Amino acid sequence: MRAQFYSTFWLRLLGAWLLLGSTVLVEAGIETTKHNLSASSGNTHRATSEERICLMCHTPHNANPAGPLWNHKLSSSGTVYTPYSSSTLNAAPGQPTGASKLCLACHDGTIAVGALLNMPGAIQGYDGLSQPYYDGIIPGLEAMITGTANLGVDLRDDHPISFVYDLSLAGYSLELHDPAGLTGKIRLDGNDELQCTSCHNPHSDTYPKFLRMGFTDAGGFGSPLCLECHNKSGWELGNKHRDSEAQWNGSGNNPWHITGQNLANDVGSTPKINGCESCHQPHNNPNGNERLLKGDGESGLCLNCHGNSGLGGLEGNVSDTPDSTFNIERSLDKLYPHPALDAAYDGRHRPIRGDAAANYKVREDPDNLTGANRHVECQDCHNPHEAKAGVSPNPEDSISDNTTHLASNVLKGVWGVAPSWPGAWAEVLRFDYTVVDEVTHQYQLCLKCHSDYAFNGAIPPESYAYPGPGIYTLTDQGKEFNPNNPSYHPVTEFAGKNDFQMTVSSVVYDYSSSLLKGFTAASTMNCTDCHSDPDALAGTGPKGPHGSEYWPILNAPYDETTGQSGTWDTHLCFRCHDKNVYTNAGGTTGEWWRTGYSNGSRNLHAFHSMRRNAPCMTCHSAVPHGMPRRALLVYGRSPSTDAGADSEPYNAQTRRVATGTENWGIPSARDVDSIPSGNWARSYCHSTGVGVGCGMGM
Amino acid sequence: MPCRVVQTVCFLLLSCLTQAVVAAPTLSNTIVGSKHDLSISNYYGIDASFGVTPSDQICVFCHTPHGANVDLNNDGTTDTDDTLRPSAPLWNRNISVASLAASFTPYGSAPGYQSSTLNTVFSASWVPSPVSLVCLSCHDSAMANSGSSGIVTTSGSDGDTHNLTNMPNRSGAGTANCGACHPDGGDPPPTWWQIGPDMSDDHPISMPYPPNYSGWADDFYPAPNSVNGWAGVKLYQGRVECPSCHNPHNPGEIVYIDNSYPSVPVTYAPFLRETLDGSTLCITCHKM
Repeated sequence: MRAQFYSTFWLRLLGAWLLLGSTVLVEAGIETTKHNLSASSGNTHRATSEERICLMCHTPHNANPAGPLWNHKLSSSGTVYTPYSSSTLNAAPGQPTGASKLCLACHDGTIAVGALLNMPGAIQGYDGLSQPYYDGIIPGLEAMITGTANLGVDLRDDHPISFVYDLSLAGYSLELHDPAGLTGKIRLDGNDELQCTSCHNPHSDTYPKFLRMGFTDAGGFGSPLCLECHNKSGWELGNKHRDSEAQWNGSGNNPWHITGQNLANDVGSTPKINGCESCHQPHNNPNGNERLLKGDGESGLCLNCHGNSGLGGLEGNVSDTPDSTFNIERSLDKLYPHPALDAAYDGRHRPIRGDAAANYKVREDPDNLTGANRHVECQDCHNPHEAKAGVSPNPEDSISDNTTHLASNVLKGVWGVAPSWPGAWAEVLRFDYTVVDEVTHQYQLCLKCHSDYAFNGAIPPESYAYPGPGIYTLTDQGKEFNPNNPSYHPVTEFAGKNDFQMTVSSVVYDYSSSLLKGFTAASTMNCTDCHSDPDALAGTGPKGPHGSEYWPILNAPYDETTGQSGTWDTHLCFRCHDKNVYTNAGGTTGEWWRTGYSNGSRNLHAFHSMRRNAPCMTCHSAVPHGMPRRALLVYGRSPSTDAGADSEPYNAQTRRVATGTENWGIPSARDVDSIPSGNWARSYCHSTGVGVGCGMGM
Repeated sequence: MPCRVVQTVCFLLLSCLTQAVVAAPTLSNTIVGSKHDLSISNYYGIDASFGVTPSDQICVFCHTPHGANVDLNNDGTTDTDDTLRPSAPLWNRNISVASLAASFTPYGSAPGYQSSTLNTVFSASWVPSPVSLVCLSCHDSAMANSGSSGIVTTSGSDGDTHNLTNMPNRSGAGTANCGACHPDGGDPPPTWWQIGPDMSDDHPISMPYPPNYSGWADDFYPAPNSVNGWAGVKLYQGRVECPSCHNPHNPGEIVYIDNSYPSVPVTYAPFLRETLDGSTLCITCHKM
């Protein structure tokens, strides 16, 4: 008889299969899933002879009211789980509740798969004696669950469960949808809590891993399930991490098949297909757990894709990077990098969830940006959920606006600081800065770490200091780029102070032609116009200050020799400032009207170059960000002979030993700001009228 | 069940499969000798100690040809089905509780588990339908055990009828069959057949079959007849009741002689309308 009923069952299945073979799609039922534990299921976990399916979890009578007619034994009441936690989590997952407890009764690996509250046949055994229900273990299912299905009691490496997901939580700017909209396949339980069953349907593997939705949506984009709740700002068309169809190119490691990690879909997968799972792994995540990342949460995560191929080539291990601009590791590996690769800095990046005043945004405490925690990781400058393709232009780029100072697409969605500017050359203190949720200008990002917002009165030592003589440490870029200063390179919202106008003998001259690339007095620029991988200029490396051969992460040489003959075609300054004006490259001291540093008949820049081969640092600050006087001029004599001389590192006097110009410089007694452009005189520096003569002794 | 087999065969024929010929199952297709047979022929021999003479009637413990109870839910009106026939078939038992709503604890009401779907169906005022109260008039300790002064005695004067409306042999002696429900003698009946009144641990009953709710179609198969259900599993006025799954007159094949496991052949026990093998009964409705 059993065989007869079986034949009914199997014949029905066979009929369904025949139909499937024609046109009708039959939704997968539990019979064909791993959750069918019956003897004939063929699954690894299966009963020896029991053929009932539902009873492994359910019973129509005498059920455990903790669940829907629950018949599986629950884990011991003494079982203590370690819930997920992270520094950016606002939800409060505690011990598992509701349906999650039911799932964990098998999936925590503490109880036999076949441990039931009511064994089959219990009510049948009536032979005249009292026959109570009795518990037991279905033969064949005595083992506990193993492998990746065993989540264990340590749930820190799993997506949080059993927390209330209400409008309040979503309102914390956590980039979560209003849970009232969860009326589709992803739902909360009756207590508004997210449970295992929110994402998984234990009765159907129509979608992989019993998920309630597929890996990709109708458009082929990954992780539609995650996006039912997670409303990541900037995760939209144009986001390369969302849209890219790049594949592993066969070099090095497959970035999405990392040893020890769950596989994200299949070989041939792309960021578009993988969606969130390109970087995140919702269960059994081995990497520090927080945010369930497939890497260390620092550069290690990003370099899965943005790293070297491991084969020594310029290109990374992803197929759409023929120009190697995608390979950031190669840049970070250079002599002077932002030290994201340096193991000494690992573990210092600590994002935290802000308070109500911070609108619950993810930030770092400014104290974590300096001192012993000073660090830089990819995540400090990039928001991988929002970044789009597109870097800031180089001055050489032939585009309509190559002088922008706006933040580029690759910096989208990253936080920074905006200062309120004090008076000239005053300290811009931490409290002068306001956090901005999304930087609009690139400098707002850089100042986050390179100003008193991080330093808070104590400039930290620079591990990548200038290797030559002289004291070269970090400086306060907030102080230097203050637009109230008499001079600065125009990286903030404001144009530079130099109006390129001078009046000589009642005639007004515009000498802005000293600038190249279309720069004018109104132009602005970015930090990365100078601080960038030089390979970006050749199109063979990534734009940005990831690393460079030239200290301090400059995209061209710049040192105490800059301005001397031999540097005019290669050094940094002459990318924007016409060498024919500032040196005697043209073999002339003429064209005096193209520079304010003239006496009305001589170009004094070219004159000093021709006569004395003087480097730029003789008269201009070695840190040409900004200065408390016009034209970035520095009082560059030795403090031993000129007590008013500027200090290192602005004053490069000790560095100029190698150039033989160490004793030169503008005497501090000379008020250079009082000298009208085009009206300089030799006596202003060379005479003794200002107390000390120029170092040349003339 | 033969009907179902025919269905299956037809289905397979349509699927161009020709060789399947399935014999009808043979079950102990009678109440006689089953646990629902409370007659002397099926008792356990303790009644002599009470000095009673057990009845040899079978049907009387549930049915009576005259003077039947037509108001199981005690609402003062005749319980009727959709064709206005009495929904309790010549019922010979009473429900004696004062308040059904106060007596029964519905499914889904236990703390801990919260079903976001079912909780909208079962409120505190939920009561079983008369169709299910028929069953619960025994399978519920509150009613079947009503009274405390002992059983129907030989004198027949006690008044505790165990909720029987009309006693077998109303003349007096020889009416009871104690051992059928008290196999251990004077002890209370075993609890394992007591379903209520706490029904929070039991499959929900007395609610419309879920596809009648919008949005539930993904989880349940539509019934071929939205009022009466399937050939096997029944609906009652489109509702799920105890007899949806259970056929009180057909015990299925009782093959379990003790509670040892594993058991043997596929059965329709206990009193089921479909086999549990492959959980066929469950997946008649549940789309799993």
